[in-house]
Amino acid sequence: MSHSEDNNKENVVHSDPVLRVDDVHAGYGKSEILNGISLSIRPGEIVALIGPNGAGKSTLLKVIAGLLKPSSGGVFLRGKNVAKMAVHQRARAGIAFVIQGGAIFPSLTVRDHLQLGSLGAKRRRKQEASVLSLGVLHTVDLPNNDRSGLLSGGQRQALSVATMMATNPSVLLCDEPSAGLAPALANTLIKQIALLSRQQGLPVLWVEQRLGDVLAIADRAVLLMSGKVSSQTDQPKEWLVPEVLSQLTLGKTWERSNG
Amino acid sequence: MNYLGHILVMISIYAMLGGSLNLVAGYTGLPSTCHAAFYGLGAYSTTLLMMSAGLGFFSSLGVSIVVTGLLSLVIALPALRLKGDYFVLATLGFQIIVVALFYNLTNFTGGPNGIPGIPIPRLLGFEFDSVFRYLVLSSIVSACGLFVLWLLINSPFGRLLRAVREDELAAASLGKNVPRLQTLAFAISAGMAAVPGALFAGYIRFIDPTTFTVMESIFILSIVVIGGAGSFWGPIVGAAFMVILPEALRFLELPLAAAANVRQITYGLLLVILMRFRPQGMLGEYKFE
Repeated sequence: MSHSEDNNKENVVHSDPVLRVDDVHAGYGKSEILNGISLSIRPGEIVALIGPNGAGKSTLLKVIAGLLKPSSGGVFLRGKNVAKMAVHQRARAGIAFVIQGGAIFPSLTVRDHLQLGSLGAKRRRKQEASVLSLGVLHTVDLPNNDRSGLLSGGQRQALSVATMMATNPSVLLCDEPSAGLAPALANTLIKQIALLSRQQGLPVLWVEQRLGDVLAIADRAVLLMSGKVSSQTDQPKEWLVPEVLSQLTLGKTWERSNG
Repeated sequence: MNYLGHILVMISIYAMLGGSLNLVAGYTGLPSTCHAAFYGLGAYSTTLLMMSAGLGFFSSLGVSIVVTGLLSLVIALPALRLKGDYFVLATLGFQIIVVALFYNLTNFTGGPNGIPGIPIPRLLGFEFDSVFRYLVLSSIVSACGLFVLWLLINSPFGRLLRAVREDELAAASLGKNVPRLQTLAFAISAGMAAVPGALFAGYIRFIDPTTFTVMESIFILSIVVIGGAGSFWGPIVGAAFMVILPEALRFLELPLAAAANVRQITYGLLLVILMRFRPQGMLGEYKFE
């Protein structure tokens, strides 16, 4: 902890992590989900966060975005501790969170969403941000003036991502943006997010069930087990072998069969 | 003619009441049950400013909009920390407290005796002293108020309120300060309720606490729900419907002894049927969960 406080005062060097999670403990009520997670994300890096159900992937994203208060530990955005900030303050500071299942406002149009998002964006890059989010929309052919309540599941997810992109964030947290989509569409959306991340140098912390897709595009993969970082690799493609994948899948079924 | 004029004045007052509540209940998704308290605060503060401070009707109205808006923060700040049903109950509590104050601050409000002899509103020497003249005043003032509301709900601020209504968490994760937006909407809505309060006081020229009770709050909420929450024209149509319906039932040929009861029952029944078949209201797009 003292180490992290020191970092606050130093000038931020470019290669410093954009986002750093430091020894975070968190849970719901008495059950602890995260048992001391430390993780950092460097500029422009796509980090795949994988692990069996209940490992704490979504919980970690919630802690970073401010939806869940950690019992201890720190969250640092560009060296600045954001742990005490409310959700909207973190969003303004540059943490964008694509909530699982997507979050849209049914009575607003697609254009309304992008404008809502870009109102919060840092002014200078507003234009750029809306171009960005339009890119996401093109992947799913979203009509600008339709009420978003009329959109299909896939379009909603894409709109949710696009709205977040419009805020011109410093880091993007994705909680299964492709959940519930047809495989082809899921694949397109994942590739589109990755492409935008590459173009913008936008770092992404990415929770995804479609391991094959996400390991293929990630720069780094982090495996969570029981609320801890169990292992990580800079060669995520190496985890694309049946042995590793089946281990993860087994972990999942094991959890399920135990209710 | 006077009878018709009276009904139209009441519709203009209730349209403004419904419209102002719609900002909070329909557009922001907070079904407040203390709107009659703000209606009353507007009526009493306008009256007191006219009678004690000697201000004219319009300057009293202006001041009482601000006063009522600020007083609404007394309940907005604690109640908006609560969600759903708890928010409804907190506003209900505030409503009851305000009426109790109207009854007991006898030095200011005259208590249960109310305040009689409210001066007739006048503008540049012109007195709004007949029902027809008052209809001109109340419809112009209400129309102006509703126009301001229309501007608000079609502005980026209005869009933000709808976003908050539909998903508070998603709005927060776009960097929007949800509690602040809700508080602001609540205060603006309360300030706007002072307008019909002043119009009522200047029209009846007598106010007492019985006009501003919980029942009235529920009546205003019904105007919004029946007309259509979250639709601009909804509460206006709702106000017309809710004011005209009981009047129209007067023309049913009923035995005198039962007339009042049958009218009440028919009125209630129509509301039940409407909610069963059109829960989003006559023009509404948004349905309370």
